[in-house]
Amino acid sequence: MLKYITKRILVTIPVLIGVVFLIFVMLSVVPGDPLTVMMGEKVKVDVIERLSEAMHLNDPWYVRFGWYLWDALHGDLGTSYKLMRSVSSLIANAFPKTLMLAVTAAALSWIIGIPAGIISAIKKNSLADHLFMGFALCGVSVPAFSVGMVLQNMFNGILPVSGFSSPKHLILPALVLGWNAAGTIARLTRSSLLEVLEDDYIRTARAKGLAPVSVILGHALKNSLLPVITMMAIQVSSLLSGAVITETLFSIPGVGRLAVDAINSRDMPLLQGTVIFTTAVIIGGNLAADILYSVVDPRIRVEGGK
Amino acid sequence: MEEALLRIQDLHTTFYTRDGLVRAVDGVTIAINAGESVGIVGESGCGKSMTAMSVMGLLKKPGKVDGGKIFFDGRELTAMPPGEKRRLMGNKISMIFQEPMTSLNPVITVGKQVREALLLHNRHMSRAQAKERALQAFELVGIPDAKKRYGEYPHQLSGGLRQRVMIAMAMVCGPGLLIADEPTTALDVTIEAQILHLMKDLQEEKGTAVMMITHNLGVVAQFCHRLYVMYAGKVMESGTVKEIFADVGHPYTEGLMRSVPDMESKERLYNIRGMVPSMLHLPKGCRFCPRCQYSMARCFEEEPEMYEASPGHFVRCFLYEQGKGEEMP
Repeated sequence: MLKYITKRILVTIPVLIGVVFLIFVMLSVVPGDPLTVMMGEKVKVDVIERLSEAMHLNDPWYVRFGWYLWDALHGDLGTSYKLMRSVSSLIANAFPKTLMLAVTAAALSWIIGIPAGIISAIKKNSLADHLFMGFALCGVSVPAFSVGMVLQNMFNGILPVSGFSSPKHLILPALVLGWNAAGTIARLTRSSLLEVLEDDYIRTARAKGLAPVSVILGHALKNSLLPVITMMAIQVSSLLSGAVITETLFSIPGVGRLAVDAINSRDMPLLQGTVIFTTAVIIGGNLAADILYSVVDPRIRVEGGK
Repeated sequence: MEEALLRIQDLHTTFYTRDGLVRAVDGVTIAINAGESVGIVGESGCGKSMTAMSVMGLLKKPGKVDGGKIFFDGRELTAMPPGEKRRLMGNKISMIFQEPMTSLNPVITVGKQVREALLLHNRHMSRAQAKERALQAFELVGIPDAKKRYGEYPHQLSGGLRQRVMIAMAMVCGPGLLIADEPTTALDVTIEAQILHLMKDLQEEKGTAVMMITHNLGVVAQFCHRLYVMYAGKVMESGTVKEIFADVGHPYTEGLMRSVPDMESKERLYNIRGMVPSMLHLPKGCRFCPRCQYSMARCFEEEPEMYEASPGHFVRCFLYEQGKGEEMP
C-alpha cells in the first residue's frame, strides 16, 4: 500500500515539471514586452537595459527556464509585473477564498447529489427519478454564467450577490458551482448503481435472504461509488483551482479571478503562477482519487502494491 | 403419499416483453423429496433456470410468476409475504450459481460474505461465533488454509475456490434444499469433478435435497436420483435416472442422449436437427414436433399430455398414450 502511494507520488514529479516547461515556453512566445507592460511606453533605454539584465530577460529561454524552475522549487514564482508583489503571496492570499467556496460547493453537491442518485436508481422511472434527473440535467447543461446571473437577479436584495466579506456571500456562488457538481454526481451515481444492481453478486446477496435495503446499502453502494469517487476528486480539484467564471461573476477575489486579471493585464509571471498552481492542484486531486480508490477497491490495491 | 419438500405445481413464469409474452416456464410441475437429488435437464433457454429463479423469487423484470403454486415444506411460497420468504432464502433454501467468477461481491472479503448469511438468519449469534461457523464451513467444502482465505477478496481466489466459497455460503445455514444452477459449467473438467464430488458428499452427509440444473447428462447420471427433462418451458419427461437412462422415453431425451460425445465412436456426433423454437412463436401442437423424427400428423395439431410409460416414468408424447407405447424403430 505504502509502496503504491510512493510510486504514485513519484510519478507526478515529471508531469509537474513537464507542465511548467510547456507553460513557460507557451508564454515566452506570446508577443509583448514585459517591461512595457510594467512601466508603459515612455521609459529610458538605459533603464530598460538595466532591468532586462536584472530580470534575466536577455538570456536565452532555456537559461531563463532553468532560473524559473530553480526559483519555483524554492517557492518563488516570480513577481507580478502589474501588482509588483510576489506571485506566491498573491496566490496564497487568493486561495483561502477559493478554498472556502470549493468546500461549500463540494459539500453541497455530495449531500444532494449522492442521495438523489441513489433514490433515482432505486425508484427508476418514478416521479422522483424524473424530477431529480431533470434538475441534474439543468445543473450539468446550463452554463455557470447564466445560472449565476439568474440567481443574482432572483435573490437581489435578499442575499449578497457580489463580493466576499461574509459567509452569506458564499451562498449564491456555492449554489451555482454545487448545482453543476451535484448534477454530474447524481447522474453518475444513478447510472452506476443501476449497472451494479444488474451484477451477479447482487443476485447472490438477494438469494441469501437480505432485504432490498441491505442489498443496496451493504452490497451495491460500495461498488457503485467507485466511479463516483473519481468524479468527486476531479471536481474538487477543479473547484480548488479556481472557478474562473463564477468567481468573476460574483467578484470573489480567488485564484480564478487572479488568473483572469493576469490575462487582462498581460501579467505573465502571475498568469504562469496561477496556471502552475492549478496544475499542481489537479495533479494532487487525481493522486488523492487514486489513493482513495485503492482504499475502497481491493483489486487495485493488490495489483499496484504489496 | 408423503408430502414432498419442494412441490412446484403448474408453474407459469412469463416475461412481458415489448415483442409479446414469453412464457419461459409454461405449466411446470416438479416435486423434490427431502434428501433427494433431482436433475433438471434441457438446452439453453428451455426454462430450467427460470424455474429455479421463480422458486427463489429472483426473477428480473419483466419476468413474473403469473400462475401456479410453489410449496416448500408444506408452506406456500407463492402466497408468502416477502419478509417471511426472505427468512427461508439462504437459510432453508439456498442457491448456487453458474458464474463463480462474478457471483461474489468483489469489495467484500469472502469470509464476511459467508458470515453475513449466518448473522442474518441467526439473530442471537455473535460475530465471533459466526466467524467460527464460517471457518468450519470453509473447511467442510475443502478450502485449504481456510483461516487465510477467510480474509481474502474474491479476485484472489481461483474459479474452483470461488465456487467452493459459494457452496460454503449456501450450506452454512444447513438448508433443506440446495438449488444448483449449472454449478460446474464455468469450471474446467477436473475442477468440475471435484466440485460434484464435494456436493455429493455434502448431500449425503447432511441429507440436503438438491435441485441440479444442468445441460450435462453426465452430471445427472453421476449425481441425481431422479430427472426432469425440459423443453421450451415444459417438462417433457420425468422419472428415475436409472429408468430413463435404461429405457429412454421422449424422442427429445433420446436426441439429447445421442448428442453426448462418445470417445470410442468414429461416427460423426449426432445432433438434433432444427433449432430451439423462438419462445415468442411456439409451434402449434407438440413443441418438439418440428424437430422430432417420429412426428405424426396429430403432433402438429394437439398438445400431448404427460403419459405414464411405466410406474413413475412420465413422458409427454403421443407414442406413450397407451402406456408403454410402440417400440421406436
